[in-house]
Amino acid sequence: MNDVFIRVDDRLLHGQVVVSWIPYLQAKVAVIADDEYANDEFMRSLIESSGPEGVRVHVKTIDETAEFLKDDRDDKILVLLKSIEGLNRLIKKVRISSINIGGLGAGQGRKRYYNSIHLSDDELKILKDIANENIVVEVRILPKDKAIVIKGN
Amino acid sequence: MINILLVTHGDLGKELLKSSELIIGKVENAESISFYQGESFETLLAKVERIIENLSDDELIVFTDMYGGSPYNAVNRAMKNRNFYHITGINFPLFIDIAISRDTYSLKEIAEKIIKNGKKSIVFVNEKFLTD
Repeated sequence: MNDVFIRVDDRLLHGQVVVSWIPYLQAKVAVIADDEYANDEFMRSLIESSGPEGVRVHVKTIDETAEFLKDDRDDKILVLLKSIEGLNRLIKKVRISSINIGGLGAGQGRKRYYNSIHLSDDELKILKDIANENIVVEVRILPKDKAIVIKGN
Repeated sequence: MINILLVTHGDLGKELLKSSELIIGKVENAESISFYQGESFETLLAKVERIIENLSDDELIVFTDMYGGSPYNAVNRAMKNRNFYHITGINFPLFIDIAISRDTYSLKEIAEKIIKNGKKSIVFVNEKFLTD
């Protein structure tokens, strides 16, 4: 199994990730798993060319990401997803042991869960279902923060 | 006149604009957008797109505070709809330099100036004393 860190953050590759997470994880590869961006030539090249030094950035669909993670790789991989919905699709395709919820803005039907993490009832239910599958679901914005673990039912 | 837009984490850009007025007086044709904690990326993007659309048709130079940050990402995305120059890693002397040279230089000359003067604006003072 590859050394993979999965994070749900609707801002994807941004300040907190570039400044804190990537150095902390010592990630050499970042995969933006997002169907919309993967199919948008402009956005794909924009994101892939905006990576921090020493990190290869790929923009892939959820399906492509699952395939990518199945191949053995030496480097630590950071996978970023914009939504819980995308996460739910990814974990059904590839075996993952833990996930990080790092940033979800306020939006339709969402309530503030913790700090800058907002979740709808459906999203929270999905996360609990994931936790039931023996996958560790943690809410943690920055590496130095204390993780809040979402328990299954 | 070339338009200036600042998009930053928190009120950095807003205050940069205000602070520069201590030195060069009122800065015309300049706007700022502050990105606050808890705000979604989509909200930020909508703000950036709306303000860019409302600016005059004159040329535009957009500044963001950090390479790879959300303001940077949002501004990059807005480049899909309008042509402008985007400079990231803005600082105080650099901003002042550009705000006052807008009238005399072309956008392209300003961009070249930024790259040259931007690096010069950061000085390791102890070392400078030693070598001078």
